[in-house]
Amino acid sequence: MESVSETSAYAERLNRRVEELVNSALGAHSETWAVVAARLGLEGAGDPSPVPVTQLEAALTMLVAEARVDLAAMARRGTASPDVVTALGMRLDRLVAAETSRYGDASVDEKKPAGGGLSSIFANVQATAAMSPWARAKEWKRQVALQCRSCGAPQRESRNFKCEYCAGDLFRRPNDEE
Amino acid sequence: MNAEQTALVARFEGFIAKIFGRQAELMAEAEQGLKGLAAQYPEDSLPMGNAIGALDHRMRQLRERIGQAWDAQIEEQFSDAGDGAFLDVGLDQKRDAEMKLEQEWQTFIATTVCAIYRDLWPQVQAALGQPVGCSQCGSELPVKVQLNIVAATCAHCGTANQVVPERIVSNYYGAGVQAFADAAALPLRHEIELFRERVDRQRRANNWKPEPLESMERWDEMERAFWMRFAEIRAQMRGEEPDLELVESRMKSFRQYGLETDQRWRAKHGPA
Repeated sequence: MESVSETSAYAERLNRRVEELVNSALGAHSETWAVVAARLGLEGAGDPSPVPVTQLEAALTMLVAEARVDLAAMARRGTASPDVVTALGMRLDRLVAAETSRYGDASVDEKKPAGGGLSSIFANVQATAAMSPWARAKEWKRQVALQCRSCGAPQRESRNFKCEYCAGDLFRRPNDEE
Repeated sequence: MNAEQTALVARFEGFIAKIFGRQAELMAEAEQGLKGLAAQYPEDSLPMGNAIGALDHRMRQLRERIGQAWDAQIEEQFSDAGDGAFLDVGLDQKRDAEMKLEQEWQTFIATTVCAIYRDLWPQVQAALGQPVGCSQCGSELPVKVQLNIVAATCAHCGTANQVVPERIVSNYYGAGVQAFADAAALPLRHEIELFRERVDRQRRANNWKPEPLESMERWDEMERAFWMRFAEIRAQMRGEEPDLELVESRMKSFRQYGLETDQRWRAKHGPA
């Protein structure tokens, strides 16, 4: 007969062991990676910093193998229904890939820099810098003089916008006809 | 602390050290990239400014990993290993790391940008001495050292020319002076941030009693010192008088939102 408490305890135990492994690899667990990995049977893991993804992958594979044995035993005893066995089995199928991916996102080791390198930032900046109006300007002059729109004479007094030659407007007013 | 707590603190420190290490790597890479941009665009501060904006975001994401790890895994371990006082140890450790990371990054950017502008100075100096000719007749205009747009009338043909500074001069005396002023004042800003953190921890230790008025007055002095430093450096570089209106406007805003919410301050100092 299916035992809900047994399948729940199995799931909880699996979650706890996965968290213990991943957290110790991240250096965020009270036990070192070497201790946790050795408990699983991963000999010679040492305590590298950072823990390589391959070591975590190996440890997770061993954990999944143990979990499959326990799941098979539950199925034989009849304490887990076929549907539950299938669901837990599918979780075990995906576990190694999912957890190594999560570790990769969370870790800050050299192989997978946090957020990647900076080359994309500078490449973006180079691309947008070439688009600025002044970058594309054909000509740039330090000095300009306003010219009368009627006769072409240059402005001769700063902030005086009447042409000294023809008394026309240096700037045509908005309501004037062309 | 007992052995378990000590180990927990040490492991958290180890995790934090990785974040610092990663920031150091990114800073080294950023320095090369920023210097390359400045060499390519000496007249335009926009590319460097855009890059710094993106880099700020990247560094913020890195800092946030401390908080994410704390929320997901570490806080529970600190809670389980002791009482509220030990949880505070972890929270302080987290906060100290986040502040130190941010301040190191800000100092790095300020220092790097200043170095870039200092390297530009020979080109700026050469540009400052360049004569400018009338737009109509080409005769040399009576324009001396020029940091802003000026009107210069040609002595030969009488044309009123509007003369802008060379672009590299505009860049140096605009964004460059801002960078020098920011860098000079930045240590004072960091002192203020550390001071506010200490005040919060003292309040926590005193069962969250209000901050003493003397402490708020000290904060007020520190903010004024920061803005004065900023204004003085900017003025010094441009050969102008310090912009005291800027200082007073910043202080007014700070007091209104930082101090005047406290009735004791209002009773003693009144509104801004």
